[in-house]
Amino acid sequence: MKGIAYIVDDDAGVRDSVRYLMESVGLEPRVYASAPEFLDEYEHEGPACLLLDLRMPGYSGLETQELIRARGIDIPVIIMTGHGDVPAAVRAMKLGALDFLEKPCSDQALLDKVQGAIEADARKRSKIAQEDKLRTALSRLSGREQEVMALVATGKSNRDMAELLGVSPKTIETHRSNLMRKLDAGSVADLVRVAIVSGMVEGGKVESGI
Amino acid sequence: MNRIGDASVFSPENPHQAGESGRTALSEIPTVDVDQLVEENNRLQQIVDALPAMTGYVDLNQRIVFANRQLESWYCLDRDTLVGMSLRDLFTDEHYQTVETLLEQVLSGKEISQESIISYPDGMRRDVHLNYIPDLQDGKVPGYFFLVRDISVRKRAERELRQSYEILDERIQRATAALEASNSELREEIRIRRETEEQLRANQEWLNEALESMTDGFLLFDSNARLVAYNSRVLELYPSNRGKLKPGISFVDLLRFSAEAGEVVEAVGRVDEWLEERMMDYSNQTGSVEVQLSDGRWILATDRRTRTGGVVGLRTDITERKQAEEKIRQQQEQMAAVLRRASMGEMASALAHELSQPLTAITYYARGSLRRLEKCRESFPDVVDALEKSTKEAERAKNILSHVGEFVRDSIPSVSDHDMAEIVNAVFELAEASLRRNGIKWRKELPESAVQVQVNRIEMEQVIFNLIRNSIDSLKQTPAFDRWLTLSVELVPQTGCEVSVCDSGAGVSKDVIDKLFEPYVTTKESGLGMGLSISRTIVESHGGRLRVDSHYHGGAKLVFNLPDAKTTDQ
Repeated sequence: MKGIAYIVDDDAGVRDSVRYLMESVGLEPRVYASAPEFLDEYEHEGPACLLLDLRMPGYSGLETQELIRARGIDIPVIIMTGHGDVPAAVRAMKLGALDFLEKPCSDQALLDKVQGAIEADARKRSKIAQEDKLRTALSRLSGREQEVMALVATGKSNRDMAELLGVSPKTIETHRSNLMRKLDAGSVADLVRVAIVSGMVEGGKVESGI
Repeated sequence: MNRIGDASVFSPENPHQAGESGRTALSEIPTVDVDQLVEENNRLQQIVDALPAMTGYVDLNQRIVFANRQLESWYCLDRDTLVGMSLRDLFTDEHYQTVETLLEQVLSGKEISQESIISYPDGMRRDVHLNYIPDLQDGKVPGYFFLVRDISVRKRAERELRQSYEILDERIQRATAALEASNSELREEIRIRRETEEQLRANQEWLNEALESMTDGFLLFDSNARLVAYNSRVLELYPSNRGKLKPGISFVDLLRFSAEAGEVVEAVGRVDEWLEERMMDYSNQTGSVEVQLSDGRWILATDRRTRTGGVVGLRTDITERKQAEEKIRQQQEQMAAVLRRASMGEMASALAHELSQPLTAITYYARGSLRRLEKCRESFPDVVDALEKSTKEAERAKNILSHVGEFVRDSIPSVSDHDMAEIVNAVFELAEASLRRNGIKWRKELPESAVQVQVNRIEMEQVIFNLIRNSIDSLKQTPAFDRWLTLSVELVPQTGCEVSVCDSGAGVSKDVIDKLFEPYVTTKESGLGMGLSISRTIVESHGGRLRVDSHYHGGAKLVFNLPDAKTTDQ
């Protein structure tokens, strides 16, 4: 799994060695000596995670976490704590860290956690991307097509829908094939799933009113 | 007089009616011989003449009928001239006026007995006793007898006596007056004396009262180190002196009683040596000596020489002060111990941290290299082996460090429930003297209800004390009029209990602020730079964070928080 590992650590040796280690497994490391440096350069790109040293001069790991949240940056955070510093780890998790690592930690544990975080980020990103795509597709449907889609998702037959909407079954059929094409759905099951994901229906019930 | 009365034979009518009635009378006594009568008369005349008084008979017309010799000699006239002479003629006017009333009275039948002073023709002025006796005959007074006695001698004696009485009296009066004067002088003197005594007594009482109301023991010694005055407080401080504390006793004896009674801790088992030392202090006027008593009290003995060569000794009970000093000393020792342990731990943990960083880097470089060599391990077996060994060695070093870390952590004392405001107050008490000494004004802002925190008290005290001490050090460089410090405890919803120490000093410069909490970083001329580092370690071991409030610009404001605090309010 490829991805970007953002590393904020005030110790130059640790910073560079972590970078070297990440590169050896094909990750794309980006290293920063302080939180402001990271915040200045960060851009929302491919799947990534942030490795944050808890104990740093200036902004500590916890303060950086707060700054990240305040700026609306959505990135999984792994906090590096001192050995046995459980209270700090607990506070990091409370502030929304995905995970924490006790220093010193083995390279394997570090890589596992980083890759795990990147994978989670990737999943989250693809889900968001899919939802965005669906939302865009749904927004392209006409009002009548949206009505038909909502009724299809609740399991209504063409005849019932024609009666409900006051049109001929033939017209319903046309709407159905159009919206299937627009949403790139191969079956009624796909259509139902899209409706649920997009929030159009909930628990299989019709939400849009007639 | 009766005798003279008996001489009525030659009286009264005789001189006047000698011709007829005399004869008639004589003829009535035929048996009497004329010669005999003459003889009798002469004898009478002789007797009357012999009287030491002037006497005679005066008739109704104030004419002298009979006179004795005394009359002749006083009036310098012979009897023949005198007899038949009117008193009006005989007397001077002055004389006559003096007796005129008396003569009238006697002729009216009243006997006169009176004293008078009369000048007589013989040139003598006499004190006389006048005695006029009416010649009463059948209720008529044909004349009267007179008897005038010279009482000049008696009168003079009387006068002299009176005079001498008067003189005496005057003398007595004078003497009395003098006596009274000296008496009143004496009385005045007594009064003044009494007043003075009263005043002295009042002064003495006032002085005694003042001495007795002193909370200190008071002793006054003369120049020979003998006790002159004291108050009873001395006895309360040195019960062994009871019965011995009397004026006149010497200073060294009093000391000896105390020392021998075992009252003085320092003197136990070495009375003489101690006495010598103590007397040296006394004679050298060392000022004050702190003496510990065996009942646990401490006395400050101050002996000062007076202008007159005596010594005023004050004995002050300083037990409370000593106890407070002892408490502060113990607390400071405790803190020093915490500081030593904490700085040892801090140094160890700083070392562990500092070393673990490069060791981590070594491991990652080696493991990164091994991963890069994954596909061609067989080509470089020695390199792979060496890299694996180097990661193992780094691992070993890290294990050693983590043992050190555990050792340090194990030495961290346990925590218990405390009220943060109470801890702050306790530390403040310790720091107050230093704040006062440096002219720093302060303010405490504490919540009304207790702020419950789970901390190691001594460590927390150490942190707060350290922050206050930093502020004091900084404020010493600030102008004296602008030195203040605020200490506050506050319960903040997100961060828990926030304790801040805020001062008006120079503040923390930007280039230091990032490194402020690192070990061996300091802005002070002296000091290791471990204080804030240790403080941070302590705060973080309690789950809190110590930071500089960078928004504060009036000086330095250091804040730490303890997340799991709660108020005991309600």
